[in-house]
Formats: sequence, C-alpha cells, structure tokens
Amino acid sequence: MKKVFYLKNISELDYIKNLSSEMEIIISPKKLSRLGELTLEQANQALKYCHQNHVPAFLEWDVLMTENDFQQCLKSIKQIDLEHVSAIRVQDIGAYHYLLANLSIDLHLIIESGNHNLVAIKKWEEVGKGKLKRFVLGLELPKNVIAKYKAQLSTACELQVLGKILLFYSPRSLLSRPMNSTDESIKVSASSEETPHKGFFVIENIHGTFMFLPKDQFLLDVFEEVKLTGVDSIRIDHRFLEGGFSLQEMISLVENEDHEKWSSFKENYANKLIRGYFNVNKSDAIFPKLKNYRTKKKTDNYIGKVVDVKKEQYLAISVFHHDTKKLAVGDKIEISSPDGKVKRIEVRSIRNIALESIQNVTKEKIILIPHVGGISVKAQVHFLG
Amino acid sequence: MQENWNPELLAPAGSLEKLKVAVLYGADAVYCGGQEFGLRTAAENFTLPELEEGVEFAHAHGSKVFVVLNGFLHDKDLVSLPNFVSQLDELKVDAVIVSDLGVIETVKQHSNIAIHLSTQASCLNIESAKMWKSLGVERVVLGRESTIEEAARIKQETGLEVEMFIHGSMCMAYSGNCVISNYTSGRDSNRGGCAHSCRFEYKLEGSDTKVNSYFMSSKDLKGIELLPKFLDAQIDSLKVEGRMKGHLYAATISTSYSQALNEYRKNKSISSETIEKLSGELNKISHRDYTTASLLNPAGPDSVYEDRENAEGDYAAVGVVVDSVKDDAVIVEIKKAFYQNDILEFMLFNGEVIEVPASEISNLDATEKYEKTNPGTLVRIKTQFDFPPFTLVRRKVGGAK
Repeated sequence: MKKVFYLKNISELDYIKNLSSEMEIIISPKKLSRLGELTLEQANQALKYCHQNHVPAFLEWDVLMTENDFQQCLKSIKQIDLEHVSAIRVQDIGAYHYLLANLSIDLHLIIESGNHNLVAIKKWEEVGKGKLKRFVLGLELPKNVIAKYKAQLSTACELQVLGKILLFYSPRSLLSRPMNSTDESIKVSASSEETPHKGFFVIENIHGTFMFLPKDQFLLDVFEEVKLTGVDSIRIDHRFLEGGFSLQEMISLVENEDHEKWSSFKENYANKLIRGYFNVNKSDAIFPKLKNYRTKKKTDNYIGKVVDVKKEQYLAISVFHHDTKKLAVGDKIEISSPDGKVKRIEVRSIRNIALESIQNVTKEKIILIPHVGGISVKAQVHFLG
Repeated sequence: MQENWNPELLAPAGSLEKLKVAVLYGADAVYCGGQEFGLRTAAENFTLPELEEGVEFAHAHGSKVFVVLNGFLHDKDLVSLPNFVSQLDELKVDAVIVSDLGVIETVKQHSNIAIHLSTQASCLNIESAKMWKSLGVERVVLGRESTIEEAARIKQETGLEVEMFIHGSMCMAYSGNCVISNYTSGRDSNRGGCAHSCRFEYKLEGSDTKVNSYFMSSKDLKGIELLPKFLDAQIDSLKVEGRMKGHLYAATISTSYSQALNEYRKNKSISSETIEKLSGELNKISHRDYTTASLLNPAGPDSVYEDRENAEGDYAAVGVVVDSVKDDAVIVEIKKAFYQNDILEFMLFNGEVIEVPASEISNLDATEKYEKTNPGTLVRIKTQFDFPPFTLVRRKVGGAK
C-alpha cells in the first residue's frame, strides 16, 4: 500500500532521502493549492529533489477557480517543471478537463465533495481516458462503500487516515476584518454557544477561509479494516495536526506499520481523534424527523387541508383538485390533525364561499363543511378507503 | 445586443401556492422540489399531484417549471430516482436542476428532460462548463463566486445557457463545499440537512485577539441595480434564491424583477428611475443587509452580515386572497394578525398596489365580526374590489391600528 505525505515546507526536504518505494510526496504550491505554503520556486526545487531521489511527487492544484483565477493558475502551472511531476492532483472539474485535453500527464481526481455514488465515480473514470490514475476519496464514505467501489473501479483509490477534517471552504476573507489583521495567513480557534463543538480551527489565506472540525481523523488504529477496503494508498496530512509534527515523525509513524506506535500516538495525541464516517454514515437518518409526518400529504385520495375552523359552525377546506376524484355530499372522509387526532366522517353538507349549498365540489377553492370536534388548522383531508 | 434577447426570471417555489404566486406576479420560470433528492428537506415541497398541477398552471400562464434534484446523492438514493425521473418526464417539467454526475447519468438514461447544472456543483470557469456540457448539461447555474463578466465569457466560449443568481440568501462557502452540519449535527448538508451553522455567532481566538463575530454569515445578494450589466452580458436566466421564504417574498421579487425585465423587453433599456423604484420595493421585504457579492468583483470582507436576525422589512405579509365573492368581499388567509380599520395594501400582479381599509372583517359565513384577525384562519373582508386568488395582502409595519 502506498503512503502519501505532504511536504509542509522546504526545510522538510531532507527527510525525503532514502524513502522506501511505497512512500509518495504531495507538493503544494501556495498559488495552486488551497492550503499550500510553497513558492513556485520551492515547489520546483522539491519536485526536482523528489525526482532525483526516485520519490513519486504529486503536484497539488486543488483550488476551485473562477475564470479569472483559472487563468492565473495556468500561468503558475506553466512555471512548474512538469517533467519532475509524477501526477497532478485536481479538484476543480475545469482543471480536470483542461489537463485531460492539453497535457500528457497522469492525474489524481479529488472527489471529496459529493461523488457518493458509483455511477458518478465510474463516469469520472470513463472521462479520465487512461490519464486518471487515482481517486482521492472523500471522508464521508464508509468502509463497506469504499470496498464496493474498489471492487468495481479500475482506478486506484486513496484515503486520508490521519489529518484534519475540512468542513468549510470559502473564497472570501472572513477573518481579516474581525481579527483586524492584514497578515497573509490568519489562524484562529472558533467556538459558538449554538453548537456543543468547541475550538474549530479556522485559517484564512490567499485562497479564502477554511474551517476544520476540532477532532481529527485517525484510522491507523483500524488499519486492518482500511486494508480490507482495498484502497491502494493512505494519506497522512500532518500540516495542521496538534503538536507540530514533522514529516520525519509522520514517516516514522507509518513506515513499519507498527500497531503499538499507532496506539501510543493515539493515546498521547493532544486532540480528540475520530474515525468520522469510516464505520457508518447515517447523516440522512434524521431527515424523516424534520417534518411532521401527520401533515405530510399523501398522493392518493388527497382532498385538501383544513384552513380554518369555527367551533360548532364549520371547517374550511382548501381543496386540491384531482382530475378524477371530486368531493361530494355523502362521501366518507378522514381528517388527520397535526397533533395526531384522526376523525372519520361522512360529509353531510358542503357550502361554497358565497355560502350557497352545493352537492359536488367542482372548481371551488375553498369549501365549508360542518364542524368536526378535535380538528385543527393544517389537518389533512383524504377520501376514506 | 442580440436581437429579440429575452432573459428569463427564475423564481423559487417552495410550495404549490408559492409557485402560483411567483407565476402570477411575473416569473418566467419557477424551480421547486419533490419530496426527495433536493436540498430543502424541511421545506413543504411538492407531491407528484401537486407537481402536476404546478406544471399545468405554469404552462397555462406561459411559465416553465424546473425541478431540483440537486442533492449529492448516495447509492441508495439513486435506487428510487429513475421512477421519479420518468414521472417528471410524463408531467412535462421543463428541466431538472442537478449537481451530481450520478444523477445526470440517471436522468439521461430514464428521460428526455433538459438538464441544468446546479450551482451546488460550483461550476466557475470555461473549462468546467465545457466538461459539464460534454456530460449532457444544457445550462449551467454558475457558482455565486463568478462575476457577470466571467459569466459572459463562459457563455460565449461554451455556447451553454448561463444562469446566475441575482437575488437572495447566499452560502458563504463554495456551494457543495460545506459539511459543517454533517459533522456537528449529523445532518448531511448536501442532501438537504443544512443546519445553517454559518449564521451562528462565534468567539474567535487568535494569538493575541479575542472577538465575537458572525464571520461566516453572508449578507443577502441584491442585483437589481446591476440588471443592465446582466442584460448586456446576455445572461440567459436570472435566478432568485428562496424556496423557504414566504409569499410576500415570492410576490415582491417576482413582480419587481419582472417589471424591470418587461420594461427592457419593451424599450431595450431600463430607466434608472425604474430601477430605483423597484430597488425600493425589494428593500421593503425582510432581508439581511444587501450586497452585490461577487457580481462585479470578488466579494470582500464587507460582504459579511454581522448580525443574527434579518432586518425587519417595512412591510409584513398579512394574508393571501384565496377567493372572492363578487362585489361583496374577498376571502383572505391570514398570515399575520391585523386589526379592524388597518389600511391593507393589495398587491396586484402588475405591480400596482390598492389600499383597502379593513373596515369590516368577519368569519367565513359572515355570522361573526372581528376586531382582530388570527394567523392561520380565513376571514371575509368587505370590499367592492374583486381581487383574484393569490393576490398578496401586506401592511406597513407599525401602520394604522
């Protein structure tokens, strides 16, 4: 299994010498990479160094770009010594399209945002025309899903096993004004009374503002399960981890797949470590509870909803007009109130809004029927049976 | 300027009633969601029969209906999608708005419906638009980070229809690139569960500064002053955000922007007086402070809304006409309480406003007179005007009582 690391700054280059063959390095220039800190000159220096030391080096171009930004990034790409680049990693579909059409270079497609279904991922693979060499998977995919995808994709997959969890990516500068700072990079901790989670790490840089979860992603303690998914590469992103770890420490942490080291790391880590959605993703489980199912309209037999109630006088119903069914005197109906009360009655009389008695509802928008006790506004009315 | 250039006003429709309001007040097209697959899980949304009625109503009035399928769907969500897509095709919806490539593939396979790429896909540049075009998209709803000038270039270079937001609330993040709710509330923001954590106040602690700030909350977009630039750029569709918003919002944005577009269609220009007047109307509805965001240049730090609540509008919607009794009364569904003798303003579909004093208010069978109305009820208001159903009734906040 390949092990992928970031080069945080140029001073970490020395650690790249004599790396084992499964180690790979991401080079992230400030102008192209969301969280990169290398100048283009440093990026070229690092790429050359990796090349000379036979370490695969990937150029990270993961910013999202408006058209004007895109043109600026192209200028930067043209300053990179691409012969030293093993692959370019992109997230913006425009960058993907451009590179597929214009350069003969291997690509990694970052599909962290969306892409939670195999149909989409397989299509991106088909579009990749043999140049696409790797999918960088999102953290919302659970292990069983990753395993299923791996079995059906011919492209390699990469998963982060240690690093921060990015929650929010905005192109706007959101910290400089409240923090009254003109620094190019501003870092803060953010907490709100309105959420139990405290200490979100937020960074503003030239690409905008990024917010991370206070807890960090750690899957090395379930490394066997990670292997079972079939992923081809694991990624360790030490750039913003608590404790200021160096690349050397990270390489040492994973190079021998030493489970004791991982346990010890977890035990001594300054922040909380979580597995995120690796075990299961139930982030849609709450959706049915967001609505009162009693006020949810059924598609069959629906007559309308109660829009006014006058005790001992009438219920006013806003009528939904079907092509087929029309309410008439003598029909049996069911009225379900939002509080759960259900009444089944026979319609004894109907009046229109001019207060005339009618036998059938034809085009009336509002009708009045005799009052039914216990029924409130927003009750749903259906034909019985 | 292209001959017969006819830009579209696209309004939100959070419910069948709001769809009708938007159409009657001038929207050329509306977008709405079914019970699944969209990004507004908590909204009322449409059942299939409601969609059918909505499409029939809109088409009868010369408007189009687009259905949002813009969630980032998981494999299991795709299982029931083909059936829904086929049903949409049968209903003759005019397009679906999609952000997920898996959904695009499914729509292509099971229908002939036109596909519009949702802003959720953050399509922001020419190359990206070219890619989506090659994947079957006919229109791109650009990310709100694009300027009008960039949008024009994208349209020119790709031949795609281009849609841009001109009004409404905004995500601070690149659309589709925020998962705060997923990790802090267990609700997938990209499948309709956004908990709006960006609107919270946060305590920010730097190395030597501590401040409280709503730093992630965006001001609302208002682009009416830039409408001539949208038109010069030949942006195909001008979109208004707000499926969760109320009837007054739907009516006001539809009538304001459509009046401006109608003047343009007639005169090939819009006067500054018209824009000023309509801008004033848009100021009357509840909103956060307005910004032009990135329409001209990338949004700066002044695009942050440093408050929790929306600014109160000058006007409140007090009701919607549901029916009328000829030469005698209108039946109004009450949205906000008002009192006998309050001066009510009935907003006509063409933008005119007629003042009516609520001199006689009663229950539906006219057996009981009211001095005060209650939200969620229907009342009979005596008037000789025959206001058609879906006419909005508003009242100046703090007005006559």
